[in-house]
Order: sequence, then structure tokens, then C-alpha cells
Amino acid sequence: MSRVAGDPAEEATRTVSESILVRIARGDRAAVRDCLDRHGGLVWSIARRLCPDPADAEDAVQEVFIDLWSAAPRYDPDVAAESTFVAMIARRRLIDRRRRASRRPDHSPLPETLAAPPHEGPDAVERRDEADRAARALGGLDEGQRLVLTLSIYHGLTYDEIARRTGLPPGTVKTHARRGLIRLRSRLAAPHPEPPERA
Amino acid sequence: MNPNHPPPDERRDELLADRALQGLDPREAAELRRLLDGLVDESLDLAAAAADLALAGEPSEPLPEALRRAIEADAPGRVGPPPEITPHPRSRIAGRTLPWLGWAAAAALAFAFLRGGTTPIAPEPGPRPAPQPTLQERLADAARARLAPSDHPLAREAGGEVVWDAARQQGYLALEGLAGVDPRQGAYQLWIFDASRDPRYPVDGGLFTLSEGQTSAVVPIRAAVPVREPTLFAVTLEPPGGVVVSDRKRIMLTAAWPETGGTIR
Repeated sequence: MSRVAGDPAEEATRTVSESILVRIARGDRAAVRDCLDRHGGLVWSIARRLCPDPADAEDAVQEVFIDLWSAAPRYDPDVAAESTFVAMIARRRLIDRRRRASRRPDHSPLPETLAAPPHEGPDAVERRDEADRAARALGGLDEGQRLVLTLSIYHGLTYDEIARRTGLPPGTVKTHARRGLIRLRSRLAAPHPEPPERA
Repeated sequence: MNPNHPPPDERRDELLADRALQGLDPREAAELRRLLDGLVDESLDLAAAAADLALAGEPSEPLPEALRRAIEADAPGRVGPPPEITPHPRSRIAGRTLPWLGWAAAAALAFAFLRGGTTPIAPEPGPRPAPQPTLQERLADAARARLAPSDHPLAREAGGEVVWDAARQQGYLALEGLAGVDPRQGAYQLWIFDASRDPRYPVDGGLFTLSEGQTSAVVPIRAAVPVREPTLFAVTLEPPGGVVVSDRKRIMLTAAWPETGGTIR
């Protein structure tokens, strides 16, 4: 996935972000605190969403950071924003835990508007340009792909659960998920992502 | 084209997408490894993570302070250079008459080893200069208990102690006399039984090997998850790389926790 050069403010933010995992990879233990300051809430929020039991979520978060310390050397700022890399490590661990536990989270009621990513204030968007780009890329998917990816990524549902909730055939769910994610990757890699489609 | 056998590139992307969204079972993971042929491709995992950030918005809740402290306390053993190791202070435990943790009692406590991740530990064989406080020095006031050997031939002369600081979630094994193993043939693996967890699933405390002729070693404990109420530490011999499910046939050392009869001082 290629990166797109942003404005100077975004670049400055990115440089600060990059330094944390790079410092950890170099063995700078002081960077641990910075990492927890910057990404602790992110990891905790993903864990709480995908792992509803608080004790399990705490265990999961500790495992995520253990994974993160060891994964830090392979973080490449040219490939992804640091927060995206951290979220990837967190999601991978949580998905793995969920599979091993063979149990599903108790899903909260689905939002009314599944297709539309939540809007953020301009400051938040500026801080999180990759998330903003991803929101626009999601908005460019067709409705079925966007729905399935939202249920899978945000709500943590399995393909079968998505099929039951949406009434789509399981094969269609898988196709939407796979093709949608591949298309999302392409849109994120594009130099100038297309504007979101409006439902 | 047979729709049940998509082209390799298509199948690879299917598996990459499934990994990013749902995870893979071992068979699928092996298939993906074959298709990737040694390459690392996290592009779809990153795309899913970026979408997650976009859908979730800004985190609304900070990391709980106690959890943050536990992670910070655990990090020094995992970030940066490995802990400085010095020879085990034999005098600390030499000459003590310590309660024998009978094998039957240990076996009664050595519940089903059914699962758990593996956390390789680099061998810590010998003395090194210690410009900063060593792990042993940092944990000088931590609780400790005697490790008792099983009747396994490799453990016949073995002993030592386990040191564990619950608040820091740090500890180490100070080992003596445990036979070396060829790392191509096997590795020692530490398990920690935690009363707050399902007794069938002890916590993986990490892997280590000892070289032939190495008479003592200090092995940092690398618990994969927080240990809340430890009841037993057990060292087993496992295949290279460790296991997620131990057959419990080659248990080397055990230490009940807290040790019956008081701490070793």
C-alpha cells in the first residue's frame, strides 16, 4: 500500500508518530510511555469492541502490546501510518483470540446507518489522515461491499452471522467481503482517492 | 475453469482477505504460506485496520490506568536489549533444607496443558558485565520458591528457584543442574498455573534452551498474559519451538506457589 504525501502539518504529525515504533525498535524503553499515550486508547477501544468481557479485554490488550513490541522493527512508515499498523496488530491478536476461544462477542445493536462511516471534526481528521482516507475509500465501495465490511470489521461478525443478519447468501457475503477489501486496498493505494459515493 | 479451484493469485487474495477479516484455521494458514512462498503481504490486513480506524472514529475511552501500569512494568523485559544476566547466586539457596514438592503433588496440580501461545526466550547462558541493575537485583525483594526436580533423567541433578514479582509481572528462573538440550531436538518450556484462569490452560511462560555443560542459568519469565494468582510453576521439555498443547510426559521441575514452608532466604 503506497502512501500519499500530505500537507506539512500532517507530515509533522506523521514524523512524531513514526518515531515511537522506531524508537521502540531501537530499544528505547522510554518510548513505551509515548506509545501508551498515543495508542493505548486505540488498542483499548478495539479490544473493548471486539472482546466484550472486560477481563478478557485486559488480557488481550496486554498481548497486543507484547506483539507490538516484537513487531516494531518491521514497521515501515512508507507503507502505513503508525496508528494503522498498531490497529492491525491489535485486530490480528483479537481475531486470533476469538477464533481460539470459539466464542462470539455479544454484539450491540447495529447502528441505523451502516453504510456511512462516522464523521469527525476537522481537527481529528487532520490528525488521522489515513483514517480519513479510509473513510473516503469505504464510501467509494458499492453498498453491499460497504455493508459487509462494516459488519465484519467494525462489529466483528463472522461471515455466517452477517449472512443471517442481512439475509444475503453466505457465498455472497464472502464475495462482498473479499472483493470489497481488495478494492479498498486499491483505493487506499491510489494517489488521489475518488470522492465518496453518496447513497 | 473449475470454480472450486480458483487461480493461485485469486486464492491467495481470498486467504489474505479472510485472514484480515476472520482469521485463518491452521490448514488455511499453511495454504497461504505456500502461496506466498516466503513473502510477507499485510496489505489487506492494513486496509482492514485503516477501515477500522475510519469506522470507529477517535477512541472514546483511555487505557485503564492499572492496565497501563501493568504493560509499562512488563515492557522492559521485552523492549530493548535483553536483561543483563549474572551467575545465579548459589549461596542464596545452598544448604537449605527445603520442602520436597512431591511429584504426586505436582502432578495433581499439573492440570491439563491444552493450549496457550508460545513465547520464545533467548537462552541466557553466562555472566556478562552489568552496568545497570540486573533482573535479579531489580527483583531482589520479590517472592520466591524452590524448584523441585522430577525423576526425569535430564532433571535428576536439577534445582533452583523461581522468583516472581506479581506487581511488576516479572520474574525469572534461577536454574542449576538441569541438563542441556540440543535446540534441534527440544526446548524447555515454562508453564504458570493461575487460579484465576481455567486450570486446563496454564499460562505459557516462555521457551528456553540450555547448552551442554551449562550448570546454571537465569531465565527471565515471559508470561504471555497477566498472571494473577499463580499456584504452580512447571518446566517441561518440548519439541523445538515449544508447543501449545503439552502431553505432560516430560515435566522437569515444579514449584508450588506460594511455597509451603515460607520463602527461601
